Amino acid sequence: MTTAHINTATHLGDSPVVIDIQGLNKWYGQFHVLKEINLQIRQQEKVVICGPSGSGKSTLIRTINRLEEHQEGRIVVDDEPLTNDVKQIERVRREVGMVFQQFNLFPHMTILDNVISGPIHVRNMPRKQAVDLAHSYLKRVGIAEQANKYPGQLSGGQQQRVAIARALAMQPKIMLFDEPTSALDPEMIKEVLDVMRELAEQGMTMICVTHEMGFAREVADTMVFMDKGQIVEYAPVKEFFTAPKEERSRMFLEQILNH
Amino acid sequence: MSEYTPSQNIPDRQPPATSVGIIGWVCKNLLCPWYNAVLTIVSCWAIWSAVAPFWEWAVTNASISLDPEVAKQHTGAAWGFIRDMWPVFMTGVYPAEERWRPLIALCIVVVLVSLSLVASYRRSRWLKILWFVSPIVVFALVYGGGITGLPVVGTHYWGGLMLTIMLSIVAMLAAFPISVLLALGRTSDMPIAKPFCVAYIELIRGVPLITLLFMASVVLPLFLPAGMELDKVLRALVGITMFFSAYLAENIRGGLQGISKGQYEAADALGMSYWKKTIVVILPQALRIVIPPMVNNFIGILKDTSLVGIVGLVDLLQIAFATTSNPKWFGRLEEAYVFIAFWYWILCYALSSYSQYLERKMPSASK
Repeated sequence: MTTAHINTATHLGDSPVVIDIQGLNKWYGQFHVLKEINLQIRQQEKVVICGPSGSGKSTLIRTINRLEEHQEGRIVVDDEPLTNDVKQIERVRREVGMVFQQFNLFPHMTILDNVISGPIHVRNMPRKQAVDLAHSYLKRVGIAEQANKYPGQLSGGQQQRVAIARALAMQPKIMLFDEPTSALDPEMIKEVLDVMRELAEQGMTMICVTHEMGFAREVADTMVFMDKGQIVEYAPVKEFFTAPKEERSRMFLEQILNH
Repeated sequence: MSEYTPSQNIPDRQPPATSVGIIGWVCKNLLCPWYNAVLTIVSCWAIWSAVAPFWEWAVTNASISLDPEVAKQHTGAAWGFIRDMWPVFMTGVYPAEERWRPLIALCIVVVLVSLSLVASYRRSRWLKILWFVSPIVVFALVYGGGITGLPVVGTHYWGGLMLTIMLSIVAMLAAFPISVLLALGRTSDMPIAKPFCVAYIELIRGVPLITLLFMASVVLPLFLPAGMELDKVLRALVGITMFFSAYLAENIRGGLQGISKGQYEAADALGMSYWKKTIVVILPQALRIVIPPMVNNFIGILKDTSLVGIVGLVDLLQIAFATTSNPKWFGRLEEAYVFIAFWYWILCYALSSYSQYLERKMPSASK
């Protein structure tokens, strides 16, 4: 099951592969965190990665924008292979937006300044144009009125939506979500998932690490189940939830759905 | 049987008089319970016994006559000495007929500072340009020569409060960028820069400032090509700047370590280059955290400039020594010390107030 997968999401059969991971291995010191990962993600595909904690889900998506280095294997994102070349890494990061569990907004900047920081400092966009762009994204995530506040004055759910707007303002081709709702109070999870749902409908290529199985069932094309650093199951979303092939994924689903 | 009736619509009442207002405050902080009252009385007595003799010396028994003979008939301070000598305290042996030049320079700086404190002017480009040009103008005014057409007053004539302020400001401005680079170098993992920064900081911090000043004024000229002579003030400045950049670097490193990994990752994920990330995201937060220790350092610089007397510069402290050996006012040490202490305090307190203002103004780095 660690060999190359056939993409089973039929409506995406012809889309170009935008992320190609081949034979990826990663170690933290002596600890083998990612083992022989092969994964292809097509344009507009929505992939949800799940699995028990410590299974390497976050590490995997963090290798896609090189927040984590890998020691073996090949990762090609949007036709750029990830090597130690800093300029190349920066090019990849410009096209790959990321949303973190802890939001990681810049606390010394207003919401607006957070959102325009990418376009201005990375894309060298004129300020006025960046501000217009930022306002349109803030409106899209539903916090246009808060533009002049500081992150500390917003609720967790609002902060996470700003973080999504900040990533989107770079107009990326791919979005990575690293447990975007895990640090939120229950009543705020929905507002963030709604924004992500809308983004999915508009055709963004998305990779989410999440435990929100309802969201996954509704939005994902493909499910990836990881355990102990390996991809244990890779399946179209329907198949994964109705007839998981692997014993370990079945057990995981039982635990997470019947709590 | 309990008789609990759920009550509704209880109107708001004033809190009890003993817990609010002046009476409440006095009672809570000064008199109650009994041992606080005892402490209050003991503290008042201690403060009084320290302040009263000083008050008698500085005010009740003091004289302000310019005549030393009149002053000798009073048991208290002879403030006439300060009245008589204050231009010397301000500018040292700077020629008396040229003293208007540092005075104008001072006015320029005061005007610029006042303009900068007006919020609506702060963002204007003109003010920035003025700040940028002001050091050149101030130097040209005080030093003279060149296109100014003013007679040259060499740095060996500079002294007093003027020299103290100039040394501190230039040392602060020069040490700050150096220390930021040192701190960034030390927290990086660059193979050559990091060990260099560590070595510099550890070496310089392990040496007293006096040693560095001696090195800068005695040893440094030995390394210079023959015939080339570095200005005495400049040599002292190099020593002070080297010393404080090492200290400041360690403070700034503390601030850098206070920034969470998530901030670096968020900037990276946007595709920012190292310098963009450092300047836009990391440094503003790190420097905000270290305002208090940084100002502590600046205050340290200001007061430690008094060590330049060792290498023959006549700063505020040396002026105090020099004026009290003047036969006219011989031995008026107390007045001189109180006077220069007052000036050091004014300057340090201004720095401290400004830092508190900055802390309030800048959004906190914490969430």
